[in-house]
Amino acid sequence: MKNRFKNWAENYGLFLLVVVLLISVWEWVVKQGFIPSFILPAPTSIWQSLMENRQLLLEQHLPATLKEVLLGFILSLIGGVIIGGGMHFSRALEKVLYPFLVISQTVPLIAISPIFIMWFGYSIWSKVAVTILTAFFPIVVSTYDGLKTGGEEYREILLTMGANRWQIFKKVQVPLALPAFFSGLKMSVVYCVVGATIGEWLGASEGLGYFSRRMSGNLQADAVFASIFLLSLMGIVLFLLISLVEKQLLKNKIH
Amino acid sequence: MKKSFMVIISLFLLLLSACSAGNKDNQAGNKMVSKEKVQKVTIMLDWYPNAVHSLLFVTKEKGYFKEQGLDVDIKMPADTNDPLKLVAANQVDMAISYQPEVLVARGENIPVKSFAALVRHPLNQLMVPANGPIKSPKDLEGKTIGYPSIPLDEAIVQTMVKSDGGNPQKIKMVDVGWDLIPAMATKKTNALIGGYINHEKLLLEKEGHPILALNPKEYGVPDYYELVLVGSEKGLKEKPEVFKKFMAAITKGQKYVQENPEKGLSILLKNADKSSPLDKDVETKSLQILLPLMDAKEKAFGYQDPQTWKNVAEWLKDNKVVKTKVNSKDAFVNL
Repeated sequence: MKNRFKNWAENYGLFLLVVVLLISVWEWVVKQGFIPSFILPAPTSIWQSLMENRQLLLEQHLPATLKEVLLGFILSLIGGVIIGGGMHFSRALEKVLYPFLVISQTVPLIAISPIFIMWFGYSIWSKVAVTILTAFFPIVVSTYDGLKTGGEEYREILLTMGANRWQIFKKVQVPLALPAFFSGLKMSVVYCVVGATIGEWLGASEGLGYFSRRMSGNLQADAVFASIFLLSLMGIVLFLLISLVEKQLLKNKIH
Repeated sequence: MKKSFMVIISLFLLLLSACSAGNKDNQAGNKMVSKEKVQKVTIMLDWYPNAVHSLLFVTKEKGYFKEQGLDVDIKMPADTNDPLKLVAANQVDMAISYQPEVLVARGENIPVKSFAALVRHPLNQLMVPANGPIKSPKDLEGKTIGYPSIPLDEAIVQTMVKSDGGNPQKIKMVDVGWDLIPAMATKKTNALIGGYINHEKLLLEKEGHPILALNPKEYGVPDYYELVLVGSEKGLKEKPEVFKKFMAAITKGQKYVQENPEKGLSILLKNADKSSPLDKDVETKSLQILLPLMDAKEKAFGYQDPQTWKNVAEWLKDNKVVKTKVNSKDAFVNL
């Protein structure tokens, strides 16, 4: 038990120390008036605003955004794996799709938002579409690049042993691709939070992004930051969940 | 390697000292005796340059600012709320903002004050398709209204519907982000608030969507100043003469625009076409709409009526847009 705590302190102690220090400095700087509170509110007033609006934030806006994030992420995951895997198996598909994938990441979302609105209206799907657009790229690339990584020796051994392509794929390429794949997933899930927020800015009636924009319109910086805090928290929790799955899965593979 | 590092550091320090020197110039104001006695002033617009800003560009181009000993730098914001905050933080000297927004800001303890009314009546009007089923605000029951998620716009719609005998609970407001025009053009919303009769309405009509604009002031919303010039409390207290000179210069500029709208507009178009080209037809019509709304009649240009400020402050409080009590007398000053 003690050992565990020591381990934990070693892992996160420094981070927590820096966080506490940063928040203290932040609080002090704002309270002293070096930065006006309507530009950067003090951590305590952000917390107060979070408490004041907790019912609205936790019962309405957080679930709305979370739903968009999860839907977007799951669809990106399915689509990304299919496209990434497809590109691995077919050179032609790769040649056709890869440039489009890169192009899709260079389009400013605000410029094409009217198209999304025209297709999906102000339903949840316009936000999910923006989320997918930001989130599926890392998944595709990490799947594709992961499947390409090395394993030549294993492949040759298995080939001489008479394995077919599918068996090599399953036994060598997929396990070797997993670390890269999970890196992609972790990036993607964080992007999902950003994507859903931007999606809400383009038009919504609930969600943390909507709330932050609305409060910004009402010049309530503390409430804006309260919703940003929840968005960050959501990103961190999702990231940790993926890390947890990764750890479990890779541990099983090694043993 | 080390050398280049030193060079960079020294350059950086030089830049820093230059910046702070610049700040001091600003703060010292006209107390500082320089040879030319030119005072630098930064103004941030409410949005990208358009017809309503003709007077500023004319004043600059015609040298009226220089006559007053001012060197005015005109900046554009990234977001419509930025100008107010940046003025309050003393990053810019003055800004164009909205009368209700100034009161909202004061409710949040943001130290800004309006010193002139630029556009004296609401440009932000409720827009519905002409020839559609909606003829007056009460017809909006059960309909969807697009808005840029500004609580003020919600209050405007609710007041309008209520005063017209409708039930404000029965309307659905949807945030349409920045896409006011597409929201209407693709018929995703039945009505629109947050657009201007001299911009969104003209553009929609140009695209073939005739629009009926319902004026908030005819449906229970107090007549308010759409655009006002704001400064920080600190700035207005410490160097009122700069603001007075500024007003003197733009009063002359506005007179010129009023007498020569076409010339005024061409000066604007010349200044604006670098980054965001303007549509000449739209801006011409826009200026025609604006000029009478900017005219203070027998009062001096920019004059603000205490009663208007009082009415708007009360209305904002009644509609819970502003939560704390705001003294309307502190929110403005006639120079």
